[in-house]
Amino acid sequence: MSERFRLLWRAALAGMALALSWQGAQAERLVVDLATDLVEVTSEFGGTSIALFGVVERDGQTVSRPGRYDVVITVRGPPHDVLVQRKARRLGIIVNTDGQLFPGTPSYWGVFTTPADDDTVDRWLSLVSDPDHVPAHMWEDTALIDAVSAAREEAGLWTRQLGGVEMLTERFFRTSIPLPGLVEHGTYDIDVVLLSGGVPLDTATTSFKVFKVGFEQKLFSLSRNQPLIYGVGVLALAILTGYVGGVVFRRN
Amino acid sequence: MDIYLPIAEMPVGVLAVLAMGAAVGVISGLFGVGGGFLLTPLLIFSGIPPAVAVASVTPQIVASSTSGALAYLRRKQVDLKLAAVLTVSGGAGAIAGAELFAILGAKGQLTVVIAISYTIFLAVIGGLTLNESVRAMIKRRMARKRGDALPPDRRGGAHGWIHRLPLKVRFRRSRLFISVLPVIGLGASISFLGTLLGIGGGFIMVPALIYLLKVPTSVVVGTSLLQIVGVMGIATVMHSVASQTVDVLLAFILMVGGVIGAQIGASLGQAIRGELLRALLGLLVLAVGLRFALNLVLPPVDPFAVTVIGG
Repeated sequence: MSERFRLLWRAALAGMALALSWQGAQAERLVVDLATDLVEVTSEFGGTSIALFGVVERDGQTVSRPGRYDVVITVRGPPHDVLVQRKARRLGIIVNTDGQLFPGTPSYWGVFTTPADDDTVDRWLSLVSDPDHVPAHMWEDTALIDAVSAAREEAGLWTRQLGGVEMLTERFFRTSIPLPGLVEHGTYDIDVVLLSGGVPLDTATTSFKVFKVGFEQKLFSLSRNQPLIYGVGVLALAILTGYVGGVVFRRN
Repeated sequence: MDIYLPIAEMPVGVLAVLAMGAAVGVISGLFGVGGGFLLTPLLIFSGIPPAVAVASVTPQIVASSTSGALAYLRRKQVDLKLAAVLTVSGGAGAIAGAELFAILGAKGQLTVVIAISYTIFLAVIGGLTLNESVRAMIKRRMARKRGDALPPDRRGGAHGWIHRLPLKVRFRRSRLFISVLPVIGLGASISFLGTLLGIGGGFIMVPALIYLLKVPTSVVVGTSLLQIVGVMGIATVMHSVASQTVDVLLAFILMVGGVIGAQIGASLGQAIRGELLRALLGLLVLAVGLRFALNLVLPPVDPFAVTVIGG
């Protein structure tokens, strides 16, 4: 399964390069919207999911299609740099050896499509992304790439759901984007591609934000923007807790 | 009930973390040790990133040592001058430790270095503790067989080479006139290791002060505790600045668990004899060390390490 992410990942780094220059005047128009575009991470946050709805708009001039519509939705979380290292035995013990740095890797990466097999989805993805933008040397060691995919999949951060897009009517679809508790905060970009018979017809983009609110957010930004004050604050809390603990239990 | 840790950026079970803090608190109250050397591995084994585990246990050690240090201060069983020298030299060690910690984290080598250091460290300490306590048990049994009174612990003269070092300083409370160099060396090296591994180091410091520097036992524990508060305090601030991995919420839950657990442990500890306690502690330390060693030697379940750099 994880090797299925290779193509996906290249697509993520390359960006959706779909120009759709061939788009004709009579083509369908894709309209999408999210149930919410803000996900608040509070102290009770343990994961959530977001619903995405879409409609294929047609007018009188739109050509009639013989087949059904297909939809490919990709969701990319804020990028970060990932270091993958092979573990190897050196002097009898297992250590991390030289590895490969993958800059700009999506922290969250979801693909949701109307029901299709893996090869079809790979073909769709290759139509709408431009992998040549990614340096070729990064893709020589496929084992390292698959290792990242496997780790992310296990954490629920990378997901590939063929059939995850449900056509409610012929032109109206919905999907549910699952977000585990580990998601990073930041902007999540969504690309939606409408296809018919393997040909892209239209694209739409939207995005949502995941952010910490309230106390958590204050603590986090303090630790990043004023680390010295944060550190002294933690220290003060520790001494106070130790002192109060000592006083409370001494009386007992 | 899960709670979201703002710095670790992950949800954890509050009760599980509270229980871990309390369990280690019981052990620390029972054996009179800080418990960082058990708490940090426990957090790592339960899935907290090693960087966050080490850095967040540091303030927990401050909290658990504070009440003890204050109690000894009230009873005037602290050599303030000795504690000050140890803390100042320890501060340098802590700053170096936190810098190395941040560098290793950026290179993706922190997890392995922590595992190797813990294996060596726990094996040595566990072995020494077990050896010493078993000897004491045998000696007690032999003495009882012969019907002798137990030989009192002798306080011999300082080691020759330590005595010959220059820059002698008088520590009045400890009734010592010794070179300041071994004191600085001890403070800096133990604090360096402690900052890197998330341990207070009291159970290295106490024997070192007694056996190497011949500090009287009456002031040794209080002095060591005050030194731990100082050095781990510096380490808390340094980790917050250098690697930014101190999670205040995780630390606070651990503190609360630890404070409660320590009270239970302290009352339990009065029912068990000293040598037996130390033997149990030695076994426990060896067991944790073995767990780290197995991780290092056994073929890994996952042949790859995936690290997010910078977050």
